[in-house]
Amino acid sequence: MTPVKIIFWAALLPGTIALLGAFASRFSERSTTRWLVAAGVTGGYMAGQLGIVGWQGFDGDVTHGLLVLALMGAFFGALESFFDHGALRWTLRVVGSLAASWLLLRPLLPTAFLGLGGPSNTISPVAWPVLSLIFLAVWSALHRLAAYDAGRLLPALLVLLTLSGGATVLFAGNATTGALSGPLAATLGAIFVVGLFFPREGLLRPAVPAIALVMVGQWSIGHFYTDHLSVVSVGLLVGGPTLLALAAPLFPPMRRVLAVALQLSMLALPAAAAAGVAAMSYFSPPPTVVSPKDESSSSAPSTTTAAKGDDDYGY
Amino acid sequence: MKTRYAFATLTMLTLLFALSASAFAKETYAVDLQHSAVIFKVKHLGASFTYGRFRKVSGTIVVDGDRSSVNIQVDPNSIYTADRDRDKHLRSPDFLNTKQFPTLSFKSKTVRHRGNIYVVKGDLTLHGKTRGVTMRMKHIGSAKTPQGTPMVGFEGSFSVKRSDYGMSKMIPMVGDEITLTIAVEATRK
Repeated sequence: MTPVKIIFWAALLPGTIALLGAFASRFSERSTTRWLVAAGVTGGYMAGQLGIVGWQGFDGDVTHGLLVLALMGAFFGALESFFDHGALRWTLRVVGSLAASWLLLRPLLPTAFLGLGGPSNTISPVAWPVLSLIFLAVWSALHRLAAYDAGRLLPALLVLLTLSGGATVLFAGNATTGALSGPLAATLGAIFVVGLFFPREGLLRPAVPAIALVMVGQWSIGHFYTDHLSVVSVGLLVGGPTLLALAAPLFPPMRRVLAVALQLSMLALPAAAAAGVAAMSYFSPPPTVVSPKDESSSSAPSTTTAAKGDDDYGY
Repeated sequence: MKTRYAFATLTMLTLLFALSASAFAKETYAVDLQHSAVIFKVKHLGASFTYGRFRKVSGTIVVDGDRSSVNIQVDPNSIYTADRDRDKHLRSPDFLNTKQFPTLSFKSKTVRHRGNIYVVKGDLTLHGKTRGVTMRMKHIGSAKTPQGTPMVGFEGSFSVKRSDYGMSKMIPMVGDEITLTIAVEATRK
């Protein structure tokens, strides 16, 4: 893919679709058009992913599950827009988190687990509720942040989080899923731009389910399907927005500059650290190996670093 | 005298029957990992071929004329291209996605042979999808191990488009067409 095509699929097209959706939602003051933001973000992301990865059908590999998560997010976002009721919102959130987690982990769960698992039996069934809780935490955190910050800051912060998450997944050895942070960041950038025109409108809120599901979905693929995205990196990525949401009531009384600086550092620093941890792991030398010759000829454990030339890697 | 002739005839017939039975009996061989290889090549940036292999291969070969069969299993996690980071990347969802699709196998459906060439039609399962492929396998030779166990060797190649198996990421940087060579040595079970 040429650089021009990459920019088109990863940024221009997703950004334009999200921009149109967000602007269209402002044509009417009625709450019935808010779902257009969710539709714009989902449509933009899906167009970007289809351009970058192509279409292999929903029975393809797990990356295609992100398209389903985006659609689920748009659906939940639209429902929340029409029926803004606390109990219903939480019910949708729990159901959505369980379903998203199941969708991503199903191929790795033991076949015996409810008779519905996949063929590889590589993870414990406990991973399902744990990942569901992570989906729930990020979804709830973003919703709370969107409720507190109606303006431009949150979309800009989420662009940073998304791109840092993408870099983290990329360093974990999964380039395509990492690159898919591009279309998501572009849609958030579009909402930031629309936010410049409508600074007091809660633009982001209807799109929160789609953003949370796709974002955590990308991190999950990096962690569960490559083995190289550490729990520390995932913890830092999840921890940033969660802590920020907990601290959200503290910011409105503060001076604007201080509040922005604090929010930026609370979200950007852990996200950058997550990418840093993944980068260190990527660039670190391969593990030290004990050569069979050394083992047999010496009582003292003598080691050779495979990185030294790494000529006989694997042998 | 008659008894001696009858005994000799019976012995000859028994020997003949035993010989003919062994000549037409199907022979099952197990793939010898240490002397077998599944090698692949794929274009890199359209400029050159990058070669790699799978280090864990198992399976059985049944030699029985046109009723012969081949069943090869490969562990996709054992991919080796002499570069650790590239191997990690090849195991990721960008390519083989070995966590989700831990099976790479070939199972023959029909085998036709003329001389030492076997035309093997069968199913290749890769990346969770199964597609029919045809492979020309050459019988390289037969021998006995130092322990006296009979062994055979076959080699064949075929090409597939990885996009047909849902492995369509990073095309054309990494070529769509993969050429697989299966070279097996197998000892009789």
